[in-house]
Amino acid sequence: MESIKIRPETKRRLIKYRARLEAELGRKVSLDEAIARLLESAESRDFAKFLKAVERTRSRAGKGELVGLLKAGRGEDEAGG
Amino acid sequence: MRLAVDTGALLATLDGTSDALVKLAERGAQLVMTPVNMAEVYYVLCRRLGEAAAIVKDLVESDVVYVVSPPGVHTEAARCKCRNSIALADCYSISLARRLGIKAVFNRERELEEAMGRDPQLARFIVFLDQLQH
Repeated sequence: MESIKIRPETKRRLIKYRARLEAELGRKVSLDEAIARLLESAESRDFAKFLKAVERTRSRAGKGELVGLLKAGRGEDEAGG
Repeated sequence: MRLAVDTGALLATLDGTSDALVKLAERGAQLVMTPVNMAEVYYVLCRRLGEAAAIVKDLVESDVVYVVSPPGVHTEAARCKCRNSIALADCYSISLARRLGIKAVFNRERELEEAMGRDPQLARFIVFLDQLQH
């Protein structure tokens, strides 16, 4: 396998990222898998799609309306049981 | 940058109350949330718009919003609810942040501010939408 030289700071960030992945997945993660997941995430990220979902919702719900509905819903949670 | 997003923070983004998360996401931030919080987003959208599946699908497929459930998050959320008079879903967001070593973003709410005043440990993991630098 080809070895890749990276700066100590990059290595530190990669190890920190791997630790987060391990916490998220609840299992050991190799550095190879951590890098593969980073690449996958960078390549598949679609901010335009996220923005489109936000704008589509804003066109149909007024400012503060969804937050208000959440408060009402949580009130129901408290009232239940 | 990675942030655990509470239900209220994502809904405030979706209804135009706040642009902070949009601006951070544009700069590459990852927004993570638990299935419990996403379920709340789903039912609120469903009540207001009549459907939620398409919007939630786009949010998740964008890979800007990640739904994750790390081991131990349920027990930790239960312990949080035991100690604090706040919504269980708020506890899920805080517990997710604790487990991942990141901050949880909330829409500002009085009950949470009061709980933070009583428990400084809680405050360590919480940031409000209006405090985010974009």
